[in-house]
Amino acid sequence: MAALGSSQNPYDAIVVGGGHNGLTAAAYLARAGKKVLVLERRHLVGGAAVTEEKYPGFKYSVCSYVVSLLRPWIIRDLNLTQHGLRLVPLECSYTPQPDDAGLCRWADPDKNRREIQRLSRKDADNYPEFGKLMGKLARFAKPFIDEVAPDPTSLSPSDLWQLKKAGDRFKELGDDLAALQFKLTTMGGVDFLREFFESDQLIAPMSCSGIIGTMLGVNSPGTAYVLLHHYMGEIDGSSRAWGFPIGGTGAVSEAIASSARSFGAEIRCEAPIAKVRIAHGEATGVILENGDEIASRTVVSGCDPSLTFLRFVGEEHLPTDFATSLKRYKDRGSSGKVNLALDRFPEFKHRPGIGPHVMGDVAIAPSTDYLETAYDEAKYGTFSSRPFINVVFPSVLDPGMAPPGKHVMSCFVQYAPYDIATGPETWPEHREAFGDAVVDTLAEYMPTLKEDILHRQVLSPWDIQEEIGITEGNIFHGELGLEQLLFQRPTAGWARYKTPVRGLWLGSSGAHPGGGIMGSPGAMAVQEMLRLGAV
Amino acid sequence: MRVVVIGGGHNGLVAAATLAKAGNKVTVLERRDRFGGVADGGLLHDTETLSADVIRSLELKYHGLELLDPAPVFVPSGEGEGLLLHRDPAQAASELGEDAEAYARWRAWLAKVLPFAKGQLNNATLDVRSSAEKMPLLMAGASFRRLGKKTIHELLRVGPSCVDDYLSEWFESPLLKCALAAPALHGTWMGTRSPTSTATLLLHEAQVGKEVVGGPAALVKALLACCEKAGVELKPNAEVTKIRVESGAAKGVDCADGSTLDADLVLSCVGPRKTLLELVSPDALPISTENHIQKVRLRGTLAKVSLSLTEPIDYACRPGLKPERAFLCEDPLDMERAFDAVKHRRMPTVVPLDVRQSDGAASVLIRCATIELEGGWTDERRAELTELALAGLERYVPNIRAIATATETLTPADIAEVYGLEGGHEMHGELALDQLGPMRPAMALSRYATSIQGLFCGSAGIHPGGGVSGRPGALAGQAIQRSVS
Amino acid sequence: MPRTTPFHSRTSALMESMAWKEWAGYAAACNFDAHSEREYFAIRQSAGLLDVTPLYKYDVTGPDAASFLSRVWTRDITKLKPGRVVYGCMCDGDGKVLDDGTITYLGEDAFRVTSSEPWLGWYSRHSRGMDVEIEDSTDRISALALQGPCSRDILRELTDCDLDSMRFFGTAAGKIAGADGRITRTGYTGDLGYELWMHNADAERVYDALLEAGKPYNMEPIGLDALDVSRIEAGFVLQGIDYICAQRCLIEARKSTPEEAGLGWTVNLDREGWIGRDALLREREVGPKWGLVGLELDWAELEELYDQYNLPPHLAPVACRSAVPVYSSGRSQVGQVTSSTWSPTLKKYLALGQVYAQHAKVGTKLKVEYTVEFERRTVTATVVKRPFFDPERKTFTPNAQPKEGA
Repeated sequence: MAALGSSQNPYDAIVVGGGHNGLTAAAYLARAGKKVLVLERRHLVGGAAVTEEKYPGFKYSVCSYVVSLLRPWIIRDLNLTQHGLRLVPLECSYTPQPDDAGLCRWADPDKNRREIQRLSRKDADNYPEFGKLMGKLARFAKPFIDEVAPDPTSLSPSDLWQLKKAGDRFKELGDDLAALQFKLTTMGGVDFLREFFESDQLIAPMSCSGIIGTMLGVNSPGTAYVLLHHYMGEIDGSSRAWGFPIGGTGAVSEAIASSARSFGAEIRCEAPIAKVRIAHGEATGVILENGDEIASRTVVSGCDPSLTFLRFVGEEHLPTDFATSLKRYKDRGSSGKVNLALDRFPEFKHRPGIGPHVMGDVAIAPSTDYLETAYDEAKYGTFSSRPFINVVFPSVLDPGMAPPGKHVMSCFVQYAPYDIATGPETWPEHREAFGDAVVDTLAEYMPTLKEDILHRQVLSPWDIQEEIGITEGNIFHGELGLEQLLFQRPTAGWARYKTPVRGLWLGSSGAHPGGGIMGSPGAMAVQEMLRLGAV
Repeated sequence: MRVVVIGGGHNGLVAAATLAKAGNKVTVLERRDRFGGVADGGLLHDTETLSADVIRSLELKYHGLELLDPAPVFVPSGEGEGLLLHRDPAQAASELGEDAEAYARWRAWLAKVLPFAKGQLNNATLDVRSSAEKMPLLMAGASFRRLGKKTIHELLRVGPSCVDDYLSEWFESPLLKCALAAPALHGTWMGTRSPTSTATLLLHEAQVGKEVVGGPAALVKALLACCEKAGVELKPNAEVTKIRVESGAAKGVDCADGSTLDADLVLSCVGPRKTLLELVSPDALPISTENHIQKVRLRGTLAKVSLSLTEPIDYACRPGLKPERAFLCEDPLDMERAFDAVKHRRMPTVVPLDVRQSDGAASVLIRCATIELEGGWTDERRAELTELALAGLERYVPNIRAIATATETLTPADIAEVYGLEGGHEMHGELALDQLGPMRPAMALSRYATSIQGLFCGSAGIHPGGGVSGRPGALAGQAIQRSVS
Repeated sequence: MPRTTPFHSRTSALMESMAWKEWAGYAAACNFDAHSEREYFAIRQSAGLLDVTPLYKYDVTGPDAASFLSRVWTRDITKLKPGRVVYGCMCDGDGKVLDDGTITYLGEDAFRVTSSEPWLGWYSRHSRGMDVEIEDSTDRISALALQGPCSRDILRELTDCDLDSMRFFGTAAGKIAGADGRITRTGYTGDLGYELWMHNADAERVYDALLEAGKPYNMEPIGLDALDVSRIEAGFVLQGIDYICAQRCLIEARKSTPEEAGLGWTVNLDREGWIGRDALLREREVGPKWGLVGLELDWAELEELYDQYNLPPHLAPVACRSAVPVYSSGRSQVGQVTSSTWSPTLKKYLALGQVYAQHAKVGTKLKVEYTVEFERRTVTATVVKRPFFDPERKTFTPNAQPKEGA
């Protein structure tokens, strides 16, 4: 079979996987004048950031649900707003309680203060102070997510320089903030928040951000640091770093794809690859599942590390140490997704109406014990009977997501461990029970919910793996735990997007700085390739 | 110099002896009628982490201390023969079967890695800002680098992980994993699934040396002998209620009986949090110190059941062995389940037991009884605890109720009261990454001096923490000596 | 979506300009009429009535109340005598100002503290080991400021408190229009004036009675705009404008010590055991970096500036709160003006600002940026003593009892 992409004029790069990171990488490569081809297994681009009409007239953001830290420089570099990207900040973070009005954390500090005051006046006082401290630490931490992660053991000048800069910044923080930064990195979310707040109803929803995408509980050490992400936006004291994309998260992918095309990238869907073609330890292109081979000078993977290396490359082409540490890489899918099409808006028992309280995210996190119990169940191999659920009503923010008067509801559910006790392949048998648990839980807060459901899509981690292709269905491409971050993502010594296979680069959420719709891994991988003249 | 040492626990005695030998006039004030603190009466029954430096510098052997290798730990099992785990891989090999080779490799890896950690544990933490300490800092950095890139990467990878995952990378046998994971959780608020528990495992391994013949009681005896020889004045029944601070400097202490004692220096070995928040008046304490120290977490989880035995405990799965030490838990996840109870402030239902027997008595430690128990600790709850221990033993020792009588049960609340430990925490502060090294007990307080001139802290609540190790006391003594000269 | 105070039914009925603004989460009137001139002159010539309920109020009680407040505030509250109020500030551990406010003696071991920011969290963190109870009474207690030369005469008819012997910064509990309340001789205008504290339930009744009693004196309800002009004349700093609460600052440079915020006079460094003292002792060694100054802009120069554009001098009807740079005569920037206003009483253009300490001496000539016709120019300004306006009536007490021991 003759190789496609004639040998005289092969591609500079093939991007494997058309998720938002793969697309970002392609756009950056094309922008640099490179000849790029994106290969996507499914019929549409986006990976875990897709919008699909699974029920006529209702659009679901199938896996991911909000945009957390899409880097502003990527939006500017790729002209994403011209390509249709529209982000609406989330107005509020609502945590309903089964027996009372619960807590809304608003973007407006005074409104927020009045809400928190009902729980604790002290907490209301401490909340802005906490925000200020986090703001200061976020300024310290921000360079880490926008720069290649330095390896503390490396003696290369660039690593040392970066480490020195980080060290200087750390010293500038002073004793108190340095201690706080250290605590933030190592402590459990709940313990950390208890240093500032006394109300469990406030601590519970705040601590949730640390467990999203992990197989950890809100008390587990190391879960505090994600709190910082909320303060990396430009607006202090509010959760506005989170935004909802008009058109669903798929619209983000579409915008990036459109940008990539405008720079000349080629995107081919329904083109699943079987292998990365390797000759003499070097990636020379890809082999598709249908047997076609496409040559290219480099290959950039937008897929998770396990899939990339253990399946597309194959252990035989990897150094033993690298293969061992990849096998130890914790994918640990721990979350599922339930998407609902609704006949009408399912009002909350204690805050009725379609008000500003539902124009943000709603967290089912009534107490820290509740969250911890949800985790306990998952630890021993079952999905949480009363899970943590992060709900967004895309149709409230974007009427185009559902027919007039109807609604869609997007529920991110944790914990749904991939490694369920009966084996991951038995998930299909548990799927509907899992969906029922989610709906039952939600119905405690939204009494009419069950009557309003027109269609329900339940995705377990197994389903996400089967449908989207991500190993263990972890949409973050591997647990966001301390030992898998920064220079250790995916594994120590290989966090600079380069891989042991020459010509193969990793530009997915499995690389620094990690998961969420940020775009950074894809963009930074390409920047690194260009810097090193690899393409 | 006249030095008053508050608290006659093992660290207080070590510090007092160290200071007296250096020529100071030292008085130790102990609230109870006896010395030794948590080492007294064997609240903590293991002495394997005792510092070799302390033994040497205080010449404890001369004062009657005898040492031997730590006794092997027996992990009984419901089916099969259980596991008798020696630290020495050669001795352990026959017990370990398939894991024997991995165990030997693991011990070898530790032998390579731990000397660095030991070096840090046997010295005061280094001050990054002080130029006087550039040299030791560079040396510490260099010796860390000498571990090699691969080892450092490995340490940074496993350190933040949980001990269950980590041990599973090496070993198959759940009994072996239980035996190794148990000490990783001492003094922590963690379970085997808690991230960073591997770090505390390595920390523990770095401290293990020889064990004292006769246990903690023998150690306390030797320390008292050493103190007397060095001319330390030992005052029992002397509860300190206040540290007198005048214009920013400690001048002495007031006691509960109304007496006062003047001193040039005060060393408190009763836990830094208690010292600074209860014994020092609030206006003498800078608020940044106060803010830091108030946040120290010390949620005790330790309870103890003492048994008197008519004959030694003999585990049914290995009749006749009658091991001195045993750890009763067959599945690392059971240790996590035990911690679940702590987390949720409940009575534990799954209870791993840390048992040590000798001379017709046994001490059973339960490390999953939370001081924060919903509803508080009552007499009924105490009785439940006794029953949990007996029932737990009965699974492996069917005749336990015939041969054992529970003589005393200490709940965490009792421990707090009897030993004067805040939060009932045997280490005056949880072992957690943010409460270790330069952060133990809090930023800028890890070097024994406090923000009050002439007031020092030197208990397990301060670097390097630990059980019956004596290191914090010795290092505090040395720090004072340095500041004096 | 601010809340309304218990006076809202009354103030909103009088409001013609619809000029509300948010103050600590409450709706507060800026001015009742189209502009605030009449209200301002009421303060200086007759009396003005202002709703100050949004002030944060904390009632501190218990055997250790005085020593607790003495630890948290710069003032020695253990020495605060019955019937007295004291003004002071509060610092963080680095000696940077958090807030300023008043502390009123309510009774034995009972005090009321006011501030511009909420501090319950801070107070509870620093009351460890003290037998003290701290109640946030902000939502429970309504407050009015009655300020101006006629305020005593108006109030005298409505209360059983002996106003004629109540000295400046004195206080008494008593009936106000038949309701139980408390009067303090304090205010933020630098004039004769009182502040009245009452339960929410009595708010409307008291307001009505005051309006009625004020009629013969041409008393006016006033808003925050008029207050702002008069507080600058009085030389009072405003938290958030002239200095920023240290906890709200993202960068160190924005924080001020009491000396730098013009509050140095409330600090006694010889007293021990209060938060911030250690750091301020160190500051005393090296001297403060900044000084808070009162500035008088040269009117002739101003007029001349406008003249260059064929314009008459244009004076904003309200105080200006946007900061502008201050230069030394050598043209380097040495600080900033944080509030400024035309003083209708003194007929002068006044400003408050922070400049490097070496430029803060009275008499120093500086240049202040001034924009005319979109062009930035400078005007000479002289450092003068504060307060700018200090009428004798502010402190005069008709039946002043000789001070104890005097």
